[in-house]
Formats: sequence, structure tokens, C-alpha cells
Amino acid sequence: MDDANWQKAPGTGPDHPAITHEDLDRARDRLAVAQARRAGRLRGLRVFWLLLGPGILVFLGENDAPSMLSYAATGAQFGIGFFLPFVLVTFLMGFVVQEMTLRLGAVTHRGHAELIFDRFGPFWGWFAMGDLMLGNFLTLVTEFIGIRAGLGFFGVPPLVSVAGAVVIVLLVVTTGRYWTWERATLTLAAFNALFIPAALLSHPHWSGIGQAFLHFGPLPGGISGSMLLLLMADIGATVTPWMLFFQQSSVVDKGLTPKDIGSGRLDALLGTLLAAAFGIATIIAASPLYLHGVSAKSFQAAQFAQALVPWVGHIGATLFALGIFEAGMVAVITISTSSAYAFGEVLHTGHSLNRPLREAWPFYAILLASSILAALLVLLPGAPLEYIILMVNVIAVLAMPPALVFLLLLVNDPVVMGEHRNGIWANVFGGGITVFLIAVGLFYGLTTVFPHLIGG
Amino acid sequence: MSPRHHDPDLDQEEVLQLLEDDQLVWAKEKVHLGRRHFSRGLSVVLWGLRVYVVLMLVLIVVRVVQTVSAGH
Repeated sequence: MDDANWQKAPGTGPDHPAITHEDLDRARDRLAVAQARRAGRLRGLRVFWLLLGPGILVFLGENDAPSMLSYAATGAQFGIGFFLPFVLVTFLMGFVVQEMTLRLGAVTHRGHAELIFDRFGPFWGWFAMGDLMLGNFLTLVTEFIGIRAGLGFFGVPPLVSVAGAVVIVLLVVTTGRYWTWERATLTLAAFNALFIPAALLSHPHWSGIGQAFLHFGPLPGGISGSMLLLLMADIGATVTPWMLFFQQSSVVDKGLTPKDIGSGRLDALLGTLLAAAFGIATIIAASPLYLHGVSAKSFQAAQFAQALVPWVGHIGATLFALGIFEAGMVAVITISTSSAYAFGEVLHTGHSLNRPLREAWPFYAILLASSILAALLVLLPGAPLEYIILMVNVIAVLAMPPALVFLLLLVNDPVVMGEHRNGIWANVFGGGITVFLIAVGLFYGLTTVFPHLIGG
Repeated sequence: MSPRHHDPDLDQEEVLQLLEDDQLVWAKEKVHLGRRHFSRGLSVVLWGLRVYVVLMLVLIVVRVVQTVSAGH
């Protein structure tokens, strides 16, 4: 049936729901899931294949250019001893948070910004939006830094790499179909795995890696200013406000329902494990710089790939540079989409990737405008790029506690969640993560005001 | 396997059956959750966190200025 006929269908009037293009596409997705659930062989796998997406995308999207460069800086400056298990723990924290977000989206069918405005009012809503928009825009800038740096390794001029990335975003987001967007972005995100062969080419010491996980050694050299910054950056590489807004909105756009929460959890867990593996691989890939005493403190993005050539070879360095490009590219798509979802929800304009361009042009305009503005800023010369990249993740950690409190309030609200509200353990872990992030932030603040509290 | 593979013509009844009531765009535009009022304790927590974020952002600016000026 022609979509246009839906608007004119008999019975469609003030007392009857008007079916939109967005509803129709979402119903098609739900029909596929319903048919897969009735299928005989491999039913579970078919259903999971259709339902996976938001969880993997949010975690691989957060394995973005600044995150991968934070991991590389970590491996280069401090080796693997403390940080391999630490990164795994931060990803498990991320899973706890994103599981709540998934449930919130599947139960309410509303985005995170929409729920905050509806339930807590515009006063608190705009604070949350301010945190999100500031963090998203700065992060987008750093994604383009990563894209520029990654392709710069191959001699691609900055203008070409940044403009090319904007064109890719344009092509991916204007398909007019959530499913197509999701699968295209997932395909791109699969290249985050490039850090695994890069790590293998660095000839890792497997016994040392095993020791690191078994013993969770102390911080090498004690706590210093640069160590604290990297700790904050590594935490910010796994738990950030945009992840809450993005995953909830994409769960809604995909049309997940409470029946799909189990598959959604598996999706988020798979994303957690994949992202943790790729993050850990990046630390391992950069660790030869630590072992051979190469100072990486002043390294900017592309220099990591160049510096690794003696230990991982040209192929390994190429994979590393391509991985940084991919990490930035996927994050530009997911983060700009999270900004557009949030604005659409708050301004009550169309906010679905299932809507065609003509129906939801403000949604697509915000998505593209935020990307283009960030891209333009990156072309300005003279910024201390590596430091900006680390600071963005620090800002993400600092903005996270208020976002987590809103999340915990929503996910414990019986009016919002009904029988799906948090149990005791989800609250214990969620509350614990919030307190931990506040404590880390306060410690960072204290050491900024009183630098003599710690060394270096 | 993709949803387009199973892409039959859906009529309005089928769409209404496939989607939950509050999943329809129409329903989301019409129905809003009521406003929740905060207790005094919760307001204090939220304001405290707001002050925390602002203070920390100032400290980040201080740290960046310190680093950049140390570089010169």
C-alpha cells in the first residue's frame, strides 16, 4: 500500500490514531521479529539478529577516537599492569548503566530527554540538555580530530578527510529507515576490531597480560597528575551522558518492547565485551612504547601510529591509524544522532530515523549541523589536540553523576516503569557507580586546587 | 535476513496490532506523563550536583590554562 494512503485511510480521524510513515516502518520491523519468534530452526539466533543493535552501537560508538587515544596514551605511559583489569571494570560499570537505559526505553517507548522534561520539568530538563549538548559538541570536535589524524597517517589532507567524513554521515543518516542506518553503522563499527590484530602484531607478553588480570597490580609509580587524568579519561571512555540519551532513543526508534528486554541485555553485554576487548587491545598495542621507554606524553593523535612502526611494523601502524579513523567516524554518526534525538524530543518535532527527510527536516538539520560545525572547528590550526582529547573524557566523567541521578530516579519511578523498575542490586550498583564518579571527580578537583597532594 | 525481506503490505489494523498502544506516534504526542515533585532532600541533592558540575568545569578551565601557559 502506498504510504500516502495511510493519511487518508477510512476511519482515520480525531478519534482514531493516524498511522505515520514512522509507525509503518516500525511495524514492519516488529512483524519481522514476530515472524522470527514463530520460526522453527535457530529461532533464538534469528530474533537476536533482528533485535541487536543499540547495545553494540552504544559501546562501540563510545570506543571513539578520544577513548582509543586515551587507551593508547595509557598503554604508552603506564603499560598494562594496572589498566587492563581497570578498563574491564569500567566497561562493566557501563553495562550496569546501559542496562537501565535499555529497560527505560523498551518500557516507556520514549527517549531520555523526553522523559526528563515530562517527569522533572523544563528547568531540570534544560540543565540535562546543556550538559549533553556541551559534552556532545566537544566530543564531536575530538572525533573529527581522530578522523583527521587517522587519515593523516596515509597523507590525506585534513580538508578532504573531514569533508569526506561529513559526506559519509550524510549518506548514512538520510536513508529514511532506522534499520538501514543501524546496519550500516554496525558494519562500520565492526572495524573497531582492527585494534586486535594491531595488538597481536606488537607481540604481547601473554603471561604478563594474564598476571595483570589475576593480580590487578597497584598503580605503577603511585598516583600522579598525569595518571589521574588518564584514569578519569579511561572512565570517561565507558560511561558518558550521550550514551544514555543515544541508547534509549535508539531502543525506542527500533521499537523494542518489554518482551525484548532479555535480547536487549544480551545486545548490551555483547557490546560491553567487544568494546572492552578492543579497548584492552589498544592498550596492549601501545604498550611497547612504555616497555622501550619512549616518552608519549606529548604525542598527538597520528604520532602514536608513527611511533609504533618499529614494534608493530607498517601493517600494524596502518591498522592502528585505520582504527582511529573508524572510531571517530562511528562516533560522529552516533553522537550527532543522540543530539538530534534529544532536540527532537524536547522540541516535539519528528525525531526518528524512520522519518523521511521532508517530514523531519529539523531532526536531520541538527544532526548534520552539529557535525559540520565540529568539522569546521577541527580545521582551525594550533590546538593542543591530545590534551583536548583527554579533557573531553574528563568532562564526560564530571557531567555523569547528575545524569545518573536522573536515570536512577526514572528507572525507580513506578509511574514510569511499573513492574520493570529497578531491583535492589541494580540500585546498589547504580548508586555505587554514581558515588564513585563523584568521588573521582572531587579528587580530581582537589588535586587541581592543591597540586601538592600528589606528585607530578 | 532483514525486515525488508518480510515486507508485506500492512493495513492499519495490522499496524495497530504489531505496535503497542503507546508506541504509536499519535499516542506519544497526545499522552504525557505527569510532573513529579521533588522532596526537599532530593532538591538539595540535585542542586548540589549542579553546583558540583559548574565548579568542576571551572577547575577544568583552570587546569587547561595552567597546562597551556606551562607549555609556553
